Amino acid sequence: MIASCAVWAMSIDTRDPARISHFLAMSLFALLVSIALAGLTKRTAEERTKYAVSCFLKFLAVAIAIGWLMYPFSH
Amino acid sequence: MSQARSSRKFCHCWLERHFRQFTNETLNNNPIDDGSEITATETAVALASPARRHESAARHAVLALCFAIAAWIIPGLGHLALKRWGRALIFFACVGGLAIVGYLLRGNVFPPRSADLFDTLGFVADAGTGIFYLVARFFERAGPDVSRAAGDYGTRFIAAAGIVNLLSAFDAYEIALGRRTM
Repeated sequence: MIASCAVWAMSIDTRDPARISHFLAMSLFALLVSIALAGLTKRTAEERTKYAVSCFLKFLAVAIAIGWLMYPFSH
Repeated sequence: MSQARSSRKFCHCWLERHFRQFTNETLNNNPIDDGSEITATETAVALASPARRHESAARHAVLALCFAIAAWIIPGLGHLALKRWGRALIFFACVGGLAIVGYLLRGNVFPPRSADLFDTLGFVADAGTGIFYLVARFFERAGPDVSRAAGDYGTRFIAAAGIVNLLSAFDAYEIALGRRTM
């Protein structure tokens, strides 16, 4: 998660922050929503961390899977 | 919250003691004498307790609503007032992060008045960010640009921030009512 944040921070164009890749935008969205959901549903820090990591990875996995499923329609 | 709990506990004890006395005296014909007699004051308080409980519940509901409104206006403030520091920090960082990134991506911020139902729904989601809705113009000086994919992502970021903040406001409400112990 920290790595994806760092990559996003490095790749951001300070003159035009809107120029970021789709994957990084999606990763950041997944990261922030996962942390919020973990804070909302879990009690301890350990449970929250586990849930946030699991939710983040599932977000990415589902997004990549759906992306590949849609791939044939783009050609 | 603790008042409602102690009132509930007192009523439970009062009923339990009455039940014990009833079963011993009536069914077993064996009156108990454990030195814990039910006094007139206790009986009066217990009889008056439904009204008192109702009044207390109404007061708690109003207070819980205040916490929820605080949580909506400034993300995390409701939890901060309830001394849930961790949650307050998480919600402020996540809602603020989502909203600000959404603005930087030049997402669409829906105005309060619109003829389209979907725009109204968009406004409800955006207004869920509370104070971040008011600072949208500061971050998005050039205005929204949904002609690019990033702008469209930005719109989703802002809406997600609003939904997360509304969920956090409901969470603060539930915690203040004592329905959630965590």
